[in-house]
Formats: sequence, structure tokens, C-alpha cells
Amino acid sequence: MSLSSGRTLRALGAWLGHSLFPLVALALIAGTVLWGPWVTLALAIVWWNVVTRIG
Amino acid sequence: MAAVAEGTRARPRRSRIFSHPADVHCASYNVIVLLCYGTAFWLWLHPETSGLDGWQARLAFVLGAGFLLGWISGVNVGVNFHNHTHRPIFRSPALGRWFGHVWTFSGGWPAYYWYHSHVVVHHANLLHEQRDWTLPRRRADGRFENIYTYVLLHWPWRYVPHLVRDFSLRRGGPWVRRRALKDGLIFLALWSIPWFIDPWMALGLWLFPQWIANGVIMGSGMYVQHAMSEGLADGPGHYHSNTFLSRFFNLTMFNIGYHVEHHEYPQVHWSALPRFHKKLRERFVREGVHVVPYGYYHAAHKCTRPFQTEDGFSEFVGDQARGYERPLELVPARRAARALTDSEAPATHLTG
Repeated sequence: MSLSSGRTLRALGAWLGHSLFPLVALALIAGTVLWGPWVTLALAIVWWNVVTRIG
Repeated sequence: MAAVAEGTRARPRRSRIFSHPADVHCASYNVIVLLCYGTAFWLWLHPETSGLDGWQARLAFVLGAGFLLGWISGVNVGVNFHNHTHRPIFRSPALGRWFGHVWTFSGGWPAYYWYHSHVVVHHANLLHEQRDWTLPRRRADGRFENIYTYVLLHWPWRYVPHLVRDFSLRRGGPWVRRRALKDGLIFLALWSIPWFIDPWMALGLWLFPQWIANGVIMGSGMYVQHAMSEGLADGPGHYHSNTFLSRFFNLTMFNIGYHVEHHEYPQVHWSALPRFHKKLRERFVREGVHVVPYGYYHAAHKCTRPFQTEDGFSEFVGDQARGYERPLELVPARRAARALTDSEAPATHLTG
């Protein structure tokens, strides 16, 4: 792996890490089109419970 | 040639826009938060595509999406904009001021009002019972009030009268009233937009998330950052705050878990706090700083156990991360026993 691609991967990892919560929120909200609002509500509850245990 | 090569030696990368290269994450976070609001509004306004065509479906969407919006808005203001108030993320002050306006309105705050509450009130008067009105009130034994009381009452019911009083008295400087008026008007212009589009949408996907952001997310965060088991006056030097070591928490929350470090050295950049913590580690162990292995979410989860908030609170303030065990003379029970022996009277402020 070249130096620049390593740097790019690290930057991408940092971005995903720091922006994890809004990215998950965006995916769950936008996903309502696919799975409907009740599944969005259920997934939000599950995600919150996961985070209160690991964070 | 050698001189040229020496002159062009690699220097640390500097951004032309951001004060620190890592600050791009703060700006990016806010942009994604606004995108989330935009997406939720669009789905609400296009029921034929989203399937939000009955009141039950809309209620479910408000509860799920509204909660998620509130969660990220609370972090966006309470952690992310917070970093900007201590160390502006942009090189240009004008850009910083204007980005600030579009940073805090989705969290229900005019930018300067939050700056005032956090920097002028909280940091400058940390844990002072009258002057630091941002924190939970105290019980007779010195402990914080119940977490549910704080979450339900502090925003906006307690904050608004304090802000009005502070601005009327020009707390912070002679220019405060003018700045508060200007920021308040800009906020109202931005904040009112969803109400003009659809008041029901604004109620469910704008006001409700802002209550979650301020009451639940920022409220419980403020609570666990400074919750402690004993009277401050008798506590060792660093008992004003708690430090949270969870790597997942600190990665996703801009290292806000290093809170003792942050309050003692607020000018240290958020991205440098883990390294800074290592430098202070030995001192923290020696002085018995409260350090826990998890993050705010888990701490708040303990303190909000239904019908067991006192047990959860005691468990949280008694927890200590491995490797950070307090010296025996600083363990609260030991100190209480010693006080009892010394005075032959109950030390209620330590045993409550």
C-alpha cells in the first residue's frame, strides 16, 4: 500500500468514526422509503440501546 | 541543490480554511446533520413516496426520525459547536461567525447564547452554585438533583430566565445586549423556516428533536460530566469533572470524554486530548480523579434506571477505571470514616 493511499484510508476511517452518528441517522431516515416508519422507529430504539451499552 | 531540497522539506499539512486539519470533521458533521433534517422534511412533505400517509405512520416517523435528529443535534451543538467556541475552527473570523449561525439553529440555539452559557457562565464559574446556572441544582448534602428533574426542567425553563437576566445586566461585556439581539434575530429568521413550510412537521421534526437534543442528550451529558459523590469544598483538586475513557465514545464524540483535561486546559485542541490525557495520567491517579472506562451514554444509562436512579448514581460515582484506582485516603468511604473519627460527629456532606 502506498503512502498516499494509506493516508487516504486513515482519513476516511477518521471521517466515518467522527461522523458515525449522523451517517447512521441519515441512513435510517432515508431508509424509511424502503422499510417504512415503524421499522425506522424500531431501528432507532435498537441503535440507541446498542450505544448506551458500548459508549 | 541540497539547499533547495532542505528548503522544501515536508512540513505539517496546513489547511487554508480550517485552523486545524482535523476541524474539517466538525464542519462535515454539521453538514450531515442539516442533510438529515432536509431528508426528514422531504419525506414528510412527499407522503406518496415515503408512505407517511396516515397519522399512525407519521407518529412513528416523528418518534423514530425525530429522536435520531435530536440525538445528532445535541451532539452537534453540545460537543461539536462546543469545540468551535473554545478554538474557532475557521481561520476567517467572519466565516466562523456565519457558520456558527447555521450550526446552532437546528439545535434550538442562537450561536452567541450557547457560547455565553458555556464559556461565560459554565467554564468561568464551574460548579459555583449561583453563578454556574447551567448545571443541576444541589441537594442539601451537596449531590446533584435527580437526573430526571434536571433533564425535564433545565431547558428551556431555567435557561431562558437566566439568559434574559444575564443579557439585561450585560454579563460578559458592555456589547452583550447588541450581540444577543443580533444573534437572536438571525436565529429567529432561520429557526422559523420549517414553521412556515408546515407547522405539524415543525412540531414533530423540528421542536421535538430540539427538546431531545437539549433535554435528553445535552442534559444527561452535562449531568454525568460533573456528577460526584461528595462535597466539592472537601474534594481533591480535580473533583469538578469526570473523565470517560471509552474509545468508541471518544471517537464518535470528538474526545469530549476527556472532560477533566478539557476543563483544566480548554485551549487544548479536541483531537489532541487523548495524547494530552497520557501526559496527565500519573497526576490523575495520584490525585484520585474520577475516571471511568465507558462513555456518557452508559453513565447516563446507569443514572436513569427507572425507579433506581439513586442506586445507579451511586454506582456511577463509585466506578473507577482499572489502573486509575484512587489512593486510599481519597476513597470517599475512608474519608467519611476518618471525618467521623476526627470529629465524633456524622459528616453528612460525605455520607449522603
